[in-house]
Amino acid sequence: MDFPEDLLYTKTHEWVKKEGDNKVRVGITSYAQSELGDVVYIELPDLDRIVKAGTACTVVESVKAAFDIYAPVSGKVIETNNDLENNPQLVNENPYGKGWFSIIEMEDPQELTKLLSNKDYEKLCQSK
Amino acid sequence: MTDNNKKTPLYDVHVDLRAKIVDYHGFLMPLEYSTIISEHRSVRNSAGLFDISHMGEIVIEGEGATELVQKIITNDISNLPDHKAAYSPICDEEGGILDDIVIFKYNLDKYMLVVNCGNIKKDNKWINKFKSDNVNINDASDQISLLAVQGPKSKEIIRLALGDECSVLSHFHFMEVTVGEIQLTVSRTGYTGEDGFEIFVDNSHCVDLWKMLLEKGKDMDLKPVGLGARDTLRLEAGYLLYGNDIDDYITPLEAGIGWAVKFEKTDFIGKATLLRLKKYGLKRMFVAFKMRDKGIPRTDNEITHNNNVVGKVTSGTFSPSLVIGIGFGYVLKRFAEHKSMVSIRIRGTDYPAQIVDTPFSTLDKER
Repeated sequence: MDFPEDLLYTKTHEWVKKEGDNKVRVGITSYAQSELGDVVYIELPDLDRIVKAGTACTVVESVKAAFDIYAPVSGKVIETNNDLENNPQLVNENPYGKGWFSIIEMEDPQELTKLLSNKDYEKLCQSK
Repeated sequence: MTDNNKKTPLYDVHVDLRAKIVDYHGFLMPLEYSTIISEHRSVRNSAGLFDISHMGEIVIEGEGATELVQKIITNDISNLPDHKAAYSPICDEEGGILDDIVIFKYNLDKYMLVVNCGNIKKDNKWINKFKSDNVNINDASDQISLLAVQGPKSKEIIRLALGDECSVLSHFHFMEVTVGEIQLTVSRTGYTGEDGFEIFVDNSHCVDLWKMLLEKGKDMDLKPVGLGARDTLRLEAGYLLYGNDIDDYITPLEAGIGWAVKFEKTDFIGKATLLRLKKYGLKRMFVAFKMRDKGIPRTDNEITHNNNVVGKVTSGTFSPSLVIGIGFGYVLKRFAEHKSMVSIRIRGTDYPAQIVDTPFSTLDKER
């Protein structure tokens, strides 16, 4: 299980990568994909949708069940990962790379300070 | 997970294999060892080994054994040969399904009922209500373990592990055999839609048998398979799951297992109600359906037709073999009869689905 240092994390197992001043790329962690099992379908948010931190914005379906994925920050969805439509297993294979979900233009970059560091997130996973 | 959870003798073995463990009706069972899809494919392409020791075994013995079994089941076992098994619902007086079981007939005076783990106590209590003095009922669920070897390579694995005689058993036949010093009951049965075997063994020898089977099956790619793939396999094969697809509020006639209700049999519990139901017709009927394109159906999703709710999903999943969503449910009779195009309402959106026959895919192999 890896917890890359250059990312920020949520307690609900999403990761956030800062890309420029007010944009972030988001996805789910390696721990999350391993808990979900084989990912077979992903319902991404529509472009331009305004999302609020901590609310459900994406649905990931594994063989077992459907799971809500929460927006780690508030803002506007400006890009989503179209490759996931035909290759949902990218989330299992490469959760921090090709398995990314969307890019959000942040409403308030200060929200990033509320997220967890890789060390804190790793501790959280180990306590499970 | 509480301390009340039961473990099969293989619990530590599952943990060592790094299985994801889930609570299934009070049993700590392996959900998946690797991933559900890869385990599913192992069973379809080579073979899988399952620990299904959570299943219950109720042994009925004595002069009145046949009479008692005939009274509680809806199927008819009067012509069942010794050492053959049969599937049947057990119904209450109202025709509701108390359980669906497999009856193993050793001889006229001895039967073993293999029951769902969530129903062991209920079944035992129910059967005891109809017991006469010349019958002995023993719930052996806590002493007997059950392993299943399923898949196209299972015959060869059983031949290597348990001998020629077991490997040539006919479908639904069983035999008692001693291998080394382990006494086993081996049957040609399963819940996957593949050729396969189920092996009953005393708890004390369960771990040894598991290891021996894995060792003998190594060259044929035998892999441990968890309950996750057991569910996707049984859905593709069209098999019902008690608690999801059938329960006390559903009759076998509605559930599509009317073939296992034998009205010509003198008497059985539920007969009068079921006869009436058959005469006056059913309102809802069981269906299997396949998504046309997107969407993965799940338990309790609504089934719709032109925006009207016409039924409900009882089981659904992503089919690893068909690479599409499949499911079971109940719909108003006319939609079942016409094999209508319906929709499954998933998170507020209606996704088209086609009512189909089971098994779903090209699973129907020669028996």
